[in-house]
Amino acid sequence: MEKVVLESFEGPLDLLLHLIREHKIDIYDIPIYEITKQYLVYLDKMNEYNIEVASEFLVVASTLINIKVRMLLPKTNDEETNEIEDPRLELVNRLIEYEKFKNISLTLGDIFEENGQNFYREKDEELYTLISKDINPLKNIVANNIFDIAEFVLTRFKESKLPPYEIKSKKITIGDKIRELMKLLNDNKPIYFDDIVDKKSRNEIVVSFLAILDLYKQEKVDLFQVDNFSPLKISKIIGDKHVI
Amino acid sequence: MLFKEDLFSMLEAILFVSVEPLDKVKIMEVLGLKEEELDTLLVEYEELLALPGRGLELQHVAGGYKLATKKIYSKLVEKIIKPQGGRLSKAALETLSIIAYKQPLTRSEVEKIRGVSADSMVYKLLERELITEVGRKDVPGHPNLYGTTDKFLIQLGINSIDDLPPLEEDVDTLSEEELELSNKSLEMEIVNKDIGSDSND
Repeated sequence: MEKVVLESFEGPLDLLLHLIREHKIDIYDIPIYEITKQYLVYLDKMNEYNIEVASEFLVVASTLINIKVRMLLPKTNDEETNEIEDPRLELVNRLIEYEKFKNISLTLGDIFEENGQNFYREKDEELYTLISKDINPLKNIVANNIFDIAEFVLTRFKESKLPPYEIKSKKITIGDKIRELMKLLNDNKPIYFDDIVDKKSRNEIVVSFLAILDLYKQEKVDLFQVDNFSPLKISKIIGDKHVI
Repeated sequence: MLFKEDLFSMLEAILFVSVEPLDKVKIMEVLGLKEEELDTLLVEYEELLALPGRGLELQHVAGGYKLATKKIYSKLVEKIIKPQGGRLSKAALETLSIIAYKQPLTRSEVEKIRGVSADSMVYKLLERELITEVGRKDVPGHPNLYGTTDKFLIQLGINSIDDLPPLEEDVDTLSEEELELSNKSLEMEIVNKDIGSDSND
């Protein structure tokens, strides 16, 4: 029974080269029919094992079939050189070129491996700037200095026994905001929402908006906006008279 | 009056702080030496480092000189620092080889030789600073041209791309010594191939 070993290949040329070398085929005289058959068997196996067949493999498959077809056609002589061109030549040249680099890449890999045993300092941008600019932050400081500084700081910390101080955030209520807005609207001129919340905290913007909604509900102001996101105009209602 | 020992120490100090390989012109300028004086100093310093009791060696790479730890201490050094990036994949090595020997060239020229897309490999090599964009080709679309970096030379331990092992087609022009070396690597490939076909039977 055939043992299926599905090797991985670096691409269609790699696979083709493998088939040629495995069957000890003369690269200058490739039996296209045989090699195409073998090549397609491999692609079938890839399908069988649910390995996605990259489009490059299919390109080479069609190249092989194209060559076979051209070989079946009556041979035509090249008009200028009067030589018969082998349809396989271009592919052969590509295979030879590829094999050359495949081989040298193994050699380079070995050299990388060998030389990787030497370690050297690599560029560490941060350290390099530090060295080159001579801005060692601890220059002229010795261990004793650090002890003195620490002692000084810690003593001062012990002496100043300040009571804990709570920092409270300023709270604004909707009621406060309503009073503030009514004051602004007092001279019967309309105001704009963008102006009253300019550079205010998010909290205050929300409170301002709620205050305006509340005033609208109480029918103390009219709201007017031309379009979505356009400036929101707020004007005071005096009695039943709408200012807008 | 400077003694030889002083010069060794001075050379060692400037090599230590230099991250990039230090070129001879710079060393001559800093130490105030003539070229032949520096050449002698470098040879003697290299010999000094080779003596027992020293963990470093002097490397002549990427057009300059730099200190590296000796190979025999690699296991030891790896307990302190982890080599970054790990080994290059076969695909990355093939792409890198094509760029190294054919530079400058475009991504599609690499693709033509390997028969597969070179996008991710070129990106990976750029990221590891083994290749860099060296210009644009004067064809429609003006695609980037790629070439190898100093880091590539340093990691291979060679001084320039002229020191790369010769490609097969250049074998005719080799000296005997180089031929012997390339035969060795051919033997290695044959061994590799044997292993490859064994697993296939």
